[in-house]
Amino acid sequence: MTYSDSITELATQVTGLLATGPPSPYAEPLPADRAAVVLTARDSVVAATRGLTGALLGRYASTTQGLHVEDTVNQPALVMHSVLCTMPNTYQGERSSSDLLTGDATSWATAGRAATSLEGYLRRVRRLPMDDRATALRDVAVVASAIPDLDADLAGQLPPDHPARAPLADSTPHALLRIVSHQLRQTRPDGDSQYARKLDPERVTVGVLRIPRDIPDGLRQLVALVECNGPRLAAADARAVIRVVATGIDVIQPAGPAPAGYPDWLSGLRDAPPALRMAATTPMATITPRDPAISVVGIEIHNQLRQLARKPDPAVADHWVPAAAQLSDALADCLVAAGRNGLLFVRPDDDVRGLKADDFWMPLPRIHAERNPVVGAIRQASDALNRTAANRPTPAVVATGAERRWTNILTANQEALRRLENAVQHRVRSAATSASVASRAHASTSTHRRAGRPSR
Amino acid sequence: MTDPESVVSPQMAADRTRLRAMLHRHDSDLPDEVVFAVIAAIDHLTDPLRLSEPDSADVPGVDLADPVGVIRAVNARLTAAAGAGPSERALACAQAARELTDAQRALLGRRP
Repeated sequence: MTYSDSITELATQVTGLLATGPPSPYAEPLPADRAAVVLTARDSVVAATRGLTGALLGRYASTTQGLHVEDTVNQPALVMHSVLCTMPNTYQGERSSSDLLTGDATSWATAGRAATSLEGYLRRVRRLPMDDRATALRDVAVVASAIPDLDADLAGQLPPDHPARAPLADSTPHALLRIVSHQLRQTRPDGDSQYARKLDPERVTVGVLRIPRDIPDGLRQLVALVECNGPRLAAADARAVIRVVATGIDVIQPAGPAPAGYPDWLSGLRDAPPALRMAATTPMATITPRDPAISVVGIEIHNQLRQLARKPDPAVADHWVPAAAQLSDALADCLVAAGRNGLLFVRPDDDVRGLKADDFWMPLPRIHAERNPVVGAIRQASDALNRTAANRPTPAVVATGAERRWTNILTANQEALRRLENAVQHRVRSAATSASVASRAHASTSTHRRAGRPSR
Repeated sequence: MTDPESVVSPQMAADRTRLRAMLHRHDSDLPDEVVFAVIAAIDHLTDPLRLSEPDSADVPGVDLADPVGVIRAVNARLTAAAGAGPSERALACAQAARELTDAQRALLGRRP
């Protein structure tokens, strides 16, 4: 196979697997022999991606030393190589990859074989001219972009106690890989940098969410990202943000009966979804590139929302509602700014010059930036969120509740302490009594012994 | 190999039109989850740096009455197109197909 054949085959299989989608929650876990093949193939794909990136960069080993957060934008290839180097092999069995992958016609095995054959090209890849390397790196980045989702899919297909689940589901390297591979795919061989604006030192960093209680932090990150993009926020990113808020409401306050333990003040959230839906379905376009960080944080939040849906936690709602209100406000302000800068395109309300309204886009007149129907719908949702946030129990009430809880805990502790003291005193008394009985007995025995001891 | 010029092929644009027409027809009867997933798929099938082609509310030869049928047919085409080498197009098709798989599951799961 030529290099072109191999990389095409690898990308074909990998994107095909990506398109298959996440496993159904009702699917049976992979049996051990299939898991061995799939994990070996996955390791080969990661190894080939890592090897090719290293070869194209002229690096053999990697270290994260000296790398900074801004390097995710300034040197995405370097960060991609470092991240791939931190990803451990997931197959820990004793069979060789050629043994496992040969003769298997499934997509994973085919991808694994193509990946293995690419490792034979590393030396030649190192000799490529610079411009060709940029193109080759973008091809590798396409494969690398699929790894986070494929790893998550695989983690979901393994039995719960499988040792490979933890590295496959580790969100830090996967989130980083998602960002840097996206950055690499945006580069152009002629040096045209569509992402040059992202070299701005004020660039917002993206964190990883580990538990559902991190969701409000994720929303605050989104607020920062939306504000950082400002009037250049892409329409698709705006819709992704709207979806994050709508999905959050669906989990925290679903249309049916509220999950057990969720407080009444959340019922006001139900006014927001129709407005959010309208905001997402109203046609609006931009011609600005998407920000990969928004989609990364969005995916992180969706993953944690899924966890939250499985195991409701009313404490998340306390911080989620104000953060979501803030996010909606930031989004509306951002779209107004985009409209004022002439960067938004909408469908005209009426037929113009005999053309149907659906047939073309027109720039939103700057003076109508606030009257944009999408902005109106987001403001409506934001009002519902802000009203709900205002209905939250006040800090005084919360404090009273907390005080009451602490008083109860204190009383219970004092009661327990008193019992413990009684028990200790009782034990001490018993011990003292036993000791005195014992000493009396000892004294009496000694006396008897002394009495019975023959004199010298 | 990577084509830096165009991200969206005519086939992808046609599928985007089908999805948009289906959404237009079923705007009120689809659950939010499905609507948002289909919109995300449409966004994957849209070049962020270009204004998309004109969309039509009616697509000849497509039965828009059955949203599951439309989603399934588009999903199958996108899944096939996803295996087209290391290109942005293939990746966009794969990501759109994932969203449609979610939409399809949500729709089938909610059917009586």
